[in-house]
Amino acid sequence: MDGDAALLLLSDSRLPAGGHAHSGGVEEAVRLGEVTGTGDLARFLRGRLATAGLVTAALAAAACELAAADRELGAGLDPGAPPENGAADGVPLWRRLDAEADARTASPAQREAARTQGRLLLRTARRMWPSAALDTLARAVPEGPHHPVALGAVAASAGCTPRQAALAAAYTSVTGPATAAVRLLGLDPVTVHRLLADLAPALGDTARAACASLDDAVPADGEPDECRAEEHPGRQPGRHAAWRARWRALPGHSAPALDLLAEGHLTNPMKLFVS
Amino acid sequence: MTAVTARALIRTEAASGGRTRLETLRSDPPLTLRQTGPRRVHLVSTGAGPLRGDRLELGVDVAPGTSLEVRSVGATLVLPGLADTPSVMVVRARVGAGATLHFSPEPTVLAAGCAHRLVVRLSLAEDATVFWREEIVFGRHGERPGRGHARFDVTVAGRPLLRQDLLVGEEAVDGSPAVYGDARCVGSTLIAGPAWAPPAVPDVKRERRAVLGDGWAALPLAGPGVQVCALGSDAVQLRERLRRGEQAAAIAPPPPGPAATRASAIPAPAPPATPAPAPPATSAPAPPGTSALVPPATPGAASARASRARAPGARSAGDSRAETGRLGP
Repeated sequence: MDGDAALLLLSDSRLPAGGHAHSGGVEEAVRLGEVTGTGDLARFLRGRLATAGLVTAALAAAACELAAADRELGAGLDPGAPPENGAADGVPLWRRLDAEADARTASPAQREAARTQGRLLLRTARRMWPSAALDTLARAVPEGPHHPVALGAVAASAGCTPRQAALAAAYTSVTGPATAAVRLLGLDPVTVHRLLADLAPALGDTARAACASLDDAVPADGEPDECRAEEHPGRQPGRHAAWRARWRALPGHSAPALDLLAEGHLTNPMKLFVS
Repeated sequence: MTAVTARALIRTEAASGGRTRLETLRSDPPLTLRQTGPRRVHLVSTGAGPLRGDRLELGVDVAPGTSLEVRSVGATLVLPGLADTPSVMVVRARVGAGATLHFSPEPTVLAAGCAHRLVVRLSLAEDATVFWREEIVFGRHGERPGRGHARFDVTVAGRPLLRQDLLVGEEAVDGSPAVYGDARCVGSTLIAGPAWAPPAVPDVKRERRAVLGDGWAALPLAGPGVQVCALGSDAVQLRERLRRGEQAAAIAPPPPGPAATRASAIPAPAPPATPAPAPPATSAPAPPGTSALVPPATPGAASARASRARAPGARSAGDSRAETGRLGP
């Protein structure tokens, strides 16, 4: 399948994967008066893209890369078939990548929102683009992988490149909050879409930076690299170590205000959005 | 003015009777170390800066079964310099099995024109315990901050616990209500160790609940730790907010099991001047072991603890928030 067309399907808000239910912190920011109009919203979106957007783009690119490798290893496996060599080998790696997403998400409210969206996306995509990699991911993280991890795996299954996966992640990190703000503040939709158009170059830059960060992979810098036998019994520990090294230095740009907003949102009894 | 490279090292060893001995205390000016207690070391900056071009490294090695406290005498003022390259401060800390490290230097102030990189690599053994506080102040009073990039990597037995970057003085994040709002400083405290491990059988749909205050939150991590994050309008307010979060986080979670089930059934303490929060829409009532954190030591907290003992089967632990937050100063 052509990656470009798949990218459009994947990032379309009409994709039935529940993305419309999340405001990415905007609803709480509006409630607190932190975002009152398009000026605040523009700064909110730019800051969100530079932090959460970059992190999710990098995780999505990493997941896309892993899923593509998983696909090669699992070639010949029918989706839904019992796990064999390649697919079984993927489970600890998917868990590790999901743990890297956990380590970059200090807020439990945000982890919960990310897993809810990841689970829904994976469920939808396993019917749209069935693949062994998606089956492996679902088995590896049955409670639902982080959304960018799911997004990257789905992108690979749909024929996208890691850069396209990163772009989709960066895009959804700002479009959801922008349209939420239109609904919450009654802003002019065209004005808000103008903000998104202004962000277009930054979206491309974010996706490029996300992919470049995969090549910043550094060997453990004073970090002991665990090689627990139960994680890969008798299987290619060197390959696992190489993947882990690739993910260690991925960006973890945090946004303390988003953390506080996400936790505050849970206390709002009148909320329209899940997060 | 030439750039400085310095490497200082603190290393403990276990002495007889379960005591800690400072095995190595190697200063390298401007990183000067002074022992100020049996298990305590103060960093004394003997020189201005760091300035652009400087590269300072501090190694901290806490041997198994020992404990160490590292503090600093004053704030670190990061200044511009002649060099084009940023100043770099690298802290590598290893905390061995059963060891404890308390690391709480005074804030790092990013003076106008500086370019600073702070790298912290903290690797913990499975049952090590750590308290690690970082505070960053955006410029001296009334000045625009220089640029700063702090990276914090924490692993437990090689598994990632926390990986964070904080960028300061970049156009995209400055003044963004999503990042720092109108705060002038940011801080975090990591409290980690086996006592803060999540329940053994994770049910991620039911994350442990955070405790939220005014400009701070104590965030239970997916791994064995809690991170307090705070924003403030000045260093005094930031410290006060971090302390409140640390108090909320420092109380170890109850052990899983029937006792925890009761403990999680906390009625909502009457939050000061805010409506009772609803249970989160995304999760069902709290399972055993979710009340890892208790309300902070506010006037209402004592009564919240008292009522816990006699109120089984009430509301979810998600309601145990003592305050609802307002962002920023």
